[in-house]
Amino acid sequence: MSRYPLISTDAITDASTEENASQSIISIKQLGKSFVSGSGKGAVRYQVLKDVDLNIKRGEFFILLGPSGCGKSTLLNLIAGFEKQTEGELLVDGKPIDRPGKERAMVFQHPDASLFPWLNVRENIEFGLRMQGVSRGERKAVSDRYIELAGLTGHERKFPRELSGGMKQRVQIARVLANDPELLLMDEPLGALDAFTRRVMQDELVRIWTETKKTVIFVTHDIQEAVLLGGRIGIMSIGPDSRVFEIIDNRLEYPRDLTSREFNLMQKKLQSIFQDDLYFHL
Amino acid sequence: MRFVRKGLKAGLVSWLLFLIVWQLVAMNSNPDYFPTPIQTLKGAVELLTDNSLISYVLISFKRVVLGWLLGSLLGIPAGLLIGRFKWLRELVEPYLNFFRFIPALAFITLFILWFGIGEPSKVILIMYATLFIVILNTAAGVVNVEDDKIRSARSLGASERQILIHVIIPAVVPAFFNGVRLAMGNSFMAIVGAEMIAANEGVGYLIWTSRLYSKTDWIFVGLLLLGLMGFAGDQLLRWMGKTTLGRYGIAKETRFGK
Repeated sequence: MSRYPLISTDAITDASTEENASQSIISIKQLGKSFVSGSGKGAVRYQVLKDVDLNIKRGEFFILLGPSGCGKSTLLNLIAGFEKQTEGELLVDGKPIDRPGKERAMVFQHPDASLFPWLNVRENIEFGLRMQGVSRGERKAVSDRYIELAGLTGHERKFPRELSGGMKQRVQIARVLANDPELLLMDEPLGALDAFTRRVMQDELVRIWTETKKTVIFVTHDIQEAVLLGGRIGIMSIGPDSRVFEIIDNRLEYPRDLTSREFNLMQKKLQSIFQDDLYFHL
Repeated sequence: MRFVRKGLKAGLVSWLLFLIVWQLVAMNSNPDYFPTPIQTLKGAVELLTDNSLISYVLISFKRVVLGWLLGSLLGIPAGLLIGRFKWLRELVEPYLNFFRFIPALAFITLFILWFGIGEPSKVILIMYATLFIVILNTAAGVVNVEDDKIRSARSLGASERQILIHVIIPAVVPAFFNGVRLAMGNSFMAIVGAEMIAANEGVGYLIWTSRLYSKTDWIFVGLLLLGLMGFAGDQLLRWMGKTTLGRYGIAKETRFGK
């Protein structure tokens, strides 16, 4: 690790130790996850994540950046509680995670797989509240608010199949926000959208995040998207044994201007990490 | 031109063509072997006037609907359980893969022995014909519910019981509906066989006994009736599906899934 020129040791200590516990919503220490595929003599153990150290601050927009297959989604699934780590510690608000919880909401990449097609927009958004036994009137008040926030006004009675990809992702976002989670986990939510819709949704995400002040962990493999959205950008090494090996502070002011000099400098800085041969030997 | 295209779409052209070909073939053969459409219609009128036609249709229909309903009512919960629990799936899969290759009709003699010559043996036969298709389709539907849906529900605060009721069952509706539709078709095949072998009434019985009187036109009537009954049953089922279960994705997907 020390051989690597771009790593500022400051950034790492800053990320893992100095941050005090009250400020961070998630603290991850020496986290590892391995899968065993096959059985008997042919069983192969694959170590996806190893020695991941990471603290997520309350209210921040954190990006997990890395190429496909580096374990970003696995890390997100561990935080969501969909999967269990094999090594290390993963605390949310000081408590270990053993199952999914409504304080940790996930926005999936594919809305068709995760939205409920038999429910209309409003019913999808109210799903979490309905499961918790919230009264109809109260549900309506909440869903009204998030329908408006997510820009879905006028589409309340439509079914997911009647919506475009971008609109479906708005529904997913409104659906998790209606549940008032502390943490929004986003697994490449804009990855399946066309370039134009994607740009619009990026700005929308920034707007929604600014208005709600939720903590967001956003997974992407798109450097421009990372710079556009993230307050801090965690860069993951390629698998196996992936870890977050550097965290870049991105203090550009929101909403960010893609064409500004500072934006491009930041993008260049990230680009150079991935283009460096050493990246592949971490 | 527009008229023809509309007729083609509604199936009228196909049926007109069918009648023309039928007429042409019949005109060139012995009416004892191959009656014309008109002769068949006359046969139908004969059967109508002595009331047997209506009562046969109703009897066959009743047997099919009863057996099919029972089979579906049993198959849906069974399919849900088998789809939901892997150990159960592994336990019953060998049975399912074995018994589904034994046609329902092969059981008729046994069923008569066990349940008597009357209605129960026929209804149980239809039930058997329905059961496996409904179980297999429902279970496959459960297995194919996307992980993301269940994960979504879980992280939105749903309990396991709520996930079953509010996610898995609604998500399985199209698969289960497909199953009961296919089963309806199977039921017709089974009932005709059963009525040919062991019945004094019903459309299958009509077809089988007509040969004794060399009434080929009645056989034709019976065949047409089966087609009509199946078609009517399917249309009714689809209409009910569309009106009551439309939101679950049972759409107008009609011919060849278009």
